[in-house]
Amino acid sequence: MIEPAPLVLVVEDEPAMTRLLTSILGEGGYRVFAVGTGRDAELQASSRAPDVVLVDLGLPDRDGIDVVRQLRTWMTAPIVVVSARGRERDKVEALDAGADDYLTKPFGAGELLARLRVALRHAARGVAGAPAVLDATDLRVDLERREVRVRGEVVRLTPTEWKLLAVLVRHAGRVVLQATLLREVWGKAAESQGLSHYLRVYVAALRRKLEQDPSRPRYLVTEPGVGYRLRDDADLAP
Amino acid sequence: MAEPRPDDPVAPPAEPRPAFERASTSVGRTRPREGVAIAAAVGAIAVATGLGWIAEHADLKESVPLIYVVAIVLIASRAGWRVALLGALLAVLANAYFFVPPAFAFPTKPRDLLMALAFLVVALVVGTMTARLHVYALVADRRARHAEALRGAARALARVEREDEVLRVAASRTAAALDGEAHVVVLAADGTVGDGVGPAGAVALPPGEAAAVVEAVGRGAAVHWEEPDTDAAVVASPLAGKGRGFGALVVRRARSQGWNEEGLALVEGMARVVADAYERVRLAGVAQRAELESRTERLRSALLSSVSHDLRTPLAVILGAATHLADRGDDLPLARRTSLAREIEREVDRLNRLVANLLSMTRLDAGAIRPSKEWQPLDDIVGAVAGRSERLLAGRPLVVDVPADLPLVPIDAVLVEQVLINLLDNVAKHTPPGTEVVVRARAPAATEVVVEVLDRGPGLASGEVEAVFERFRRGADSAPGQGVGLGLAVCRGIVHAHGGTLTAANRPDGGAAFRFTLPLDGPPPPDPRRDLADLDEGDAVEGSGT
Repeated sequence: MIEPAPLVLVVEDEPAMTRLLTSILGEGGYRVFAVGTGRDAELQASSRAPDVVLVDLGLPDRDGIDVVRQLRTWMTAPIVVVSARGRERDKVEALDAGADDYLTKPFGAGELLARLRVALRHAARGVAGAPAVLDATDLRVDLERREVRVRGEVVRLTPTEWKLLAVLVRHAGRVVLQATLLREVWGKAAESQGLSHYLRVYVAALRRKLEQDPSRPRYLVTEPGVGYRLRDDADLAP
Repeated sequence: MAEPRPDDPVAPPAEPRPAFERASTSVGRTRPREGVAIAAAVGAIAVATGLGWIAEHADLKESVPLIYVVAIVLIASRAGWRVALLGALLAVLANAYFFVPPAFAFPTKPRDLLMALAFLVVALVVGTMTARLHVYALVADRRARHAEALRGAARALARVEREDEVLRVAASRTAAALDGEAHVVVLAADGTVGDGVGPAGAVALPPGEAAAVVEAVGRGAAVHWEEPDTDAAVVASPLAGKGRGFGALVVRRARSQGWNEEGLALVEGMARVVADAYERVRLAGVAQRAELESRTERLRSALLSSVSHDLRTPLAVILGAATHLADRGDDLPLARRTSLAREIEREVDRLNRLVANLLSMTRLDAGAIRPSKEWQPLDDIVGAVAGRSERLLAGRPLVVDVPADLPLVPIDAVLVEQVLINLLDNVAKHTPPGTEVVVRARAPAATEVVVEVLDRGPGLASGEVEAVFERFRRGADSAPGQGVGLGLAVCRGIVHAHGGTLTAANRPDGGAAFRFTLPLDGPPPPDPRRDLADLDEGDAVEGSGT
């Protein structure tokens, strides 16, 4: 029996954007159901059980962040939000409300498909099955053996660098909020103690060890104003 | 406290104003200082008597009254007129009792009584005159200090540019000059009274004060009352500029301090100074808004005229490429279709940057961009920009030169990224393909980090160095459709919002250099990089894969 193509619930009020998304996703191997309001999004999410939901934060009837929060109360399928540049606070808020990732408008087709691919991969693994190994072309991280190899060579990390990398690997491909990283690496108090610059300094240190050209990171990328993302080869594909 | 208190045991040199008489005289007086003065006066007369006794025995009997006069002058110049009168009386009595024969009894002969009376008149006149002089000196001193307080307040207020700050400075200056609590009340546009503004900000008005303020403004004269529960004496002096009154300066003092004429004159003087400053700032604000409006209007028309050209060019390319693909896509070879699609992609990138800059410019103009600064390493942002600008630079090699030990910088990452993208976009517009671009950062001083974007293009024409930052300004060499010239203006706006400067220059060996500074203001946070070196020692224990 052939497994049916994953269903994407598109929540978008601009007809032109909906048409384009339907076309790109259809050709990308997804089934698409599109709604134009937050109210319909909730109705269809419960009746159609989509595999992933794509929500534009600028909806006519309700705040997109509320839609995310509402869906998250009962739904486990991944949610990817779409928002404009310069609205980084909205993105952080949406991720806090339970969204799994975000796309900045305007985005390319490749970026859209990569985000959905990563979101579905994480959902398939579930919480318990977080990946223990990240295997990219030049970078291999094995969480169980506590081993990092860059182009085959073992790289030594400090304990803090290791903790930071481990969190990123567990969320590989997805954006991780600054606040989440601070909490998981330095503890609950770090968030409120203004230690966010620690994070940046350790990210820079990690890049010097992991990236071929630390000034142009390929794997550990900054999402300005939001957080960091550890990309693997699946994300790097166009 | 240097300020002479109004209840100093001296007589006011002039009649107090009836309206305030109650406050300056009815206050219960505790006079520890007058008791001391009386004791000192009695002592002085006793000493004078002693000296008189010595003089008598030295056969200088005629000088005894003179000794008493000297004592009276000394008393009157230090204590008030009432103590001086007491001293004069004592001196006359002592002189009569001890020195006018018969000794140790009061004289009875008419001639001696007449002499005593004459001496009394002299003593009284000398005493009160001296006391008066003393009062005049005190008053002159106090007036000089008040004048200085007014000048100081006027100077301080002249430097202030915001209305609420005028009120705060006014309150704190008035409170300090008058040794009381002070605040300013400004009536709302509809004439109602809200909160007052004290030295530290808004203060709620005690009950009844609002009515007094309205009365003071209505009468155009100070209103004065007492508050028995707080034991305070209060004055509300109206603030009036060229037009009608718009508020009041309220000063509250302990009732024991009370109010005399100079205190009230100082409050009124302060009120005039404050009203002038407030009026000046308010008018400046109005003028500034008018100026801003006309500038916005000019900008808007400049924008409209460039929009028709510079926004429509990429739109035309997109429309052309898209319709061509739609109509003839089947007949075109794959490479041609891809190149048309990439054409669309490039133009959309350009439109996207243009829209971002237009939005930023609007928000900068409205003062809506407030950088949310966080201490971070600059290489993080430069790295993100390097990754995102490859399509933009179209094959021009980008050299990133940011030392790893550059100090952390307090910046808004999203905004500084936009500055760098715009500067690279500018390079791409004005340099031949294939020429090298360098992004370099240095910390030449402990107070700032300097970031430079260097190219090997034709450089800037003389006279263009400053003009490049003007809005809707495009370089003479710009090809059509290369943006409306907002990018560099936005850069400057963002850098200014960070407290830095952005300048352009030509490199001595060819090419242009754009250079901006980011101040390292405030104490830098602890830099964990110092700990990194220590931690590296421990990494064999953990994370090494054993």
